[in-house]
Amino acid sequence: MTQLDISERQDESRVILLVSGPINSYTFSEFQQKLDRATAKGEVVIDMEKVTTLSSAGIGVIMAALDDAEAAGKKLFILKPSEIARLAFESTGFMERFPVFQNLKELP
Amino acid sequence: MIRNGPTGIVPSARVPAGGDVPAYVSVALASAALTASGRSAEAAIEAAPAKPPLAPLGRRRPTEATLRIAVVREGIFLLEDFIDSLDFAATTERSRLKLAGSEIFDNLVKHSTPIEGGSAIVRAARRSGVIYLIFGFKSPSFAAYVQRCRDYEPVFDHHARRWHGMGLRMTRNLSSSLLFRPGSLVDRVIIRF
Repeated sequence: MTQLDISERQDESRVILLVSGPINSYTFSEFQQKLDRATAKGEVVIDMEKVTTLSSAGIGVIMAALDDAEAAGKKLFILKPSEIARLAFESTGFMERFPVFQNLKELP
Repeated sequence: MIRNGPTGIVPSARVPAGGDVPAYVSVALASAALTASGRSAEAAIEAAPAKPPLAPLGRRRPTEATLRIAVVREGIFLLEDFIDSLDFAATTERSRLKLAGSEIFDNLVKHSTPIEGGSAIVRAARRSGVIYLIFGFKSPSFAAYVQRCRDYEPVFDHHARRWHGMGLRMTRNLSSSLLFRPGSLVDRVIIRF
C-alpha cells in the first residue's frame, strides 16, 4: 500500500506542503487535515510534484481550501503538479480555477 | 455520463457471459492482485498470465489483465497498483485509467452495497488500440444510483467540503465513453479510452 506523505516547511512568509503519494478516497481526509492546519497559518503552497494520483475527493479538499483562503484574504497556490495531478485538474473542466505554478519564483 | 441500456461496445474485450471468469484467469482472492505482465506482486498475491502463453515470452506483451477486488475503501490501493502494472498501456494512458477507475471504484464502495460476494472483477484490455476498463459485479442498489445520476451536474457541498458528481464528470472527460450495463447475473461499468 502506497502511503500519503505530507511534510511542511516554511519559506519566508509561506508554508510549503510537500505532498508525496496518492490523494485518493482513502487518504484525502489526512490531506484535508494537514492543509487546513497550514492554511490557518497563512499563505500556502502545495507542492504536488510527487503526487501519484488525485481523486475528486482530493480536488474537493483543494477547492474548499481555495474558497476558505479567498474568504480570509489569504492565498493558496499549487506548485509543479505531477502529470496525473494536472490531468485530474484538467478533467474537472475548470482548470482555470486552480492557481498552478511551475516555480516558486513565479508566485505573485 | 453513465447510461443504462445494452451495448455491444466490447465485442472483442471478451467479457465473459454471465460474469464468469475464464478458466485461464487465475483470480486471486481477497487482497490479491494480478498483473498484466505476470510479474510477481507483493505478499498474498497470486499472479497468473492473463492469457495462455500462445506466443513466446518476450515477443508479445499481454493485452489483458484481470483483478478480483474487495469492494471496500482500502481496495483503492490494490486497484491503483493493478493499473500501474498494465504494461500494455503507456504512462499517460495509465494515468487516465487510474483517475477514472478510482472514481468508479469509489462509487461502487459507496453505492453498491451489499455487493454480491463483497467483491468486483476488474478487467483491463487493449483491443485495436482502444483500452477498456470493465468493472463486473452484482449489486441490488447500483442501478438505482446510476438512474439518480442521470443528467446530474457536479455540486460542491461547502459544508461537507466535497463534490457530489465530480467523479463522474472527471471520468466522462477522461474517457471516450462510459456505460452501465445491468445484467441478470452481472452488472458492468464499461469505460472506453
